[in-house]
Amino acid sequence: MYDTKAIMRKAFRISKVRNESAIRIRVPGGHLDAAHLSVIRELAETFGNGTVHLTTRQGYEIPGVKLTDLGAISRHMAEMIADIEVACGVVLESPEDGYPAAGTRNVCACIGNRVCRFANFDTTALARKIEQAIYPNHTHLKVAITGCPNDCIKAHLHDIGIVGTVVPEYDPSRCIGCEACLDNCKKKITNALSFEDFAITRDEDYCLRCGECILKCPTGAFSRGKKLYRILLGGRTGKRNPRLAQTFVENATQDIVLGICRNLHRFIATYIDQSKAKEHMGYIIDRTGFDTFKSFVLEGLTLGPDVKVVQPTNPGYVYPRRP
Amino acid sequence: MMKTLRLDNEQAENAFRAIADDYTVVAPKRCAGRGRFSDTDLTTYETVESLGEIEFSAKTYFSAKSVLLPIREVMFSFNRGEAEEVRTSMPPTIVFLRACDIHALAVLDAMFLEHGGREDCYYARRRENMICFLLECPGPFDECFCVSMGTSRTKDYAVFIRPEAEGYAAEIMDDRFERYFPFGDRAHVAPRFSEEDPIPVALPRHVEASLFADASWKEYSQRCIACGRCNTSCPTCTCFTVQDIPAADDRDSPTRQRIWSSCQVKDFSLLAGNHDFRLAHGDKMRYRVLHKITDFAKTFGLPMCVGCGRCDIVCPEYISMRKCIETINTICRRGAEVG
Repeated sequence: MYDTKAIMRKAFRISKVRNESAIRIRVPGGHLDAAHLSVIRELAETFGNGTVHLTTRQGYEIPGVKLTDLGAISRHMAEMIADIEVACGVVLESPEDGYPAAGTRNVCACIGNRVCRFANFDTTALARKIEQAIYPNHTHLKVAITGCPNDCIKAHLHDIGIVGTVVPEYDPSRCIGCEACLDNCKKKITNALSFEDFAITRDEDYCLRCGECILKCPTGAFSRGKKLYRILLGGRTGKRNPRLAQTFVENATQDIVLGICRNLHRFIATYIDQSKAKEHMGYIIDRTGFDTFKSFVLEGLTLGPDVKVVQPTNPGYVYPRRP
Repeated sequence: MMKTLRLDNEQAENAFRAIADDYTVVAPKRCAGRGRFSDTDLTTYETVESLGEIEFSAKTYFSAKSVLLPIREVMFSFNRGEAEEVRTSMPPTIVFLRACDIHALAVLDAMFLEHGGREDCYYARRRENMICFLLECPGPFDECFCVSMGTSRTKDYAVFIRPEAEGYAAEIMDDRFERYFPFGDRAHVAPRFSEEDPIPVALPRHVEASLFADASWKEYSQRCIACGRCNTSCPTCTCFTVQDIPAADDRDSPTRQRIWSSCQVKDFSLLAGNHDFRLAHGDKMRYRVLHKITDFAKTFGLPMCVGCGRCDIVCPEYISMRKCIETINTICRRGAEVG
């Protein structure tokens, strides 16, 4: 009567309530034109039970809709989902049929520099570009973007996490030696700064490029240099072996971030274990080894001298299997 | 002889270029991406080459005081025990200033030229080569209180230039600059000055030492983070420290530099024997505010604060100078009532 797999591929849910579904709406970067909310409200009140759930991945989920209504629902929300995706540069060929894929999950982002003082870049804008690089696609992949190393979006729990960093530029002729940068770095971050001969030196080996020295400086002696990105790899939740991601690429440009994102699905498609329902990327890398992953996703990219590629080594936490 | 005229854009830029050939010109400029927060601009004083670069409509984050008082100024160099005075000379420099910032020069002059009957030679050498061009204030910015402080109007400028819908209007007060403007129509041009403060401020006439004990300062201790931005942006804060700083390649030949300091940052009031008399942030703030509005005037006869409002704008904790003055007035009134 219903093809559950086809329904789920369109991002609808198979509910625990017989004959019911839930609508799921992608919001890349978690930022939406408020005008779309009226459509979300209409969907909830016309087809659902009048409530809306904010998903763990910054989308909307509208529960209590009938499986028989999915066609009408798809037509009702066609214009909205097409608009949201077009803002990312993704053109849906037939939005009146609903979403073309659900495997690659909504790209999450913290609020970024449109609002936050700590953020080192516009996370929403990058989330939209990454949406274009990885969606639509049926393979399971989670990407999150965070504006600074505070990692409020928890990019460390994603297959790919993008952390915005900034190179602090120091002009000693503007420094008054108040040590506000140093005291803060020592107390809160990695103690990467030292003060000698009435000037600050920054230890590149320890600096996380979070940019807090720039925020603290009362004279602008520290100012914003290049925006660079740290790409985290291998984070996940899940039953067996949850794991925090670790640095994969340090000092990446936005082109490198997008290049790697574009290459991910080719790696997954080549090595995925088809016998499993939806093998996650992290487990595929565990099988193929890091070097295979690296050579696939860095293919065709020019890295430049400052870019460092690192092998994550965190085995994560393992719930033992009974022998 | 005063001359007033209107110029089209090309005439104005030509005049400006000719001036910039003879003078260094420092003016407000919107510097893209230089803001503290990512993807924000910083409007601050910079050397400019054309009129088009000048930001006429926004207030600068930092004042222009670094033209006269560089953040770090080398006073002496030492060469293996021999000391030599460094005589840095500033080329003739035009600075575009608002009325309040021109009044701030009177505060700096009082300190560096008049106080103690002796000129500060480093300041004096720069000051004599500095010329003020006026930026007008058709209305106050939100944080301004120059009218209250009596600093909203000035005649102390060489040239006034205003961008208009088409071209520029100019008023030349200083004969030296007439030759740069051999064209344009004579027209009525007068700078507009702010007429009313958004929130007027009245300075207390007399402050009792009992004010120090008021609970308000404890409240400010909770709010103020002692970052010193109020000092570094202020057009009249001039505290400095003196440091001997070794050269990178020759540790035996340091230079003696005077470097901006701030009464808000750590160790400012640290004395020998590890005594520090102002540790609480509220106490530091009280010291700054009273210096600005009453203590300086006792020595120099004019308040130090010119009401530019920068300390309000730059404060990350939204602490307001105007509000603090109001608080002090309230404490004084309460004290007077109690007797």
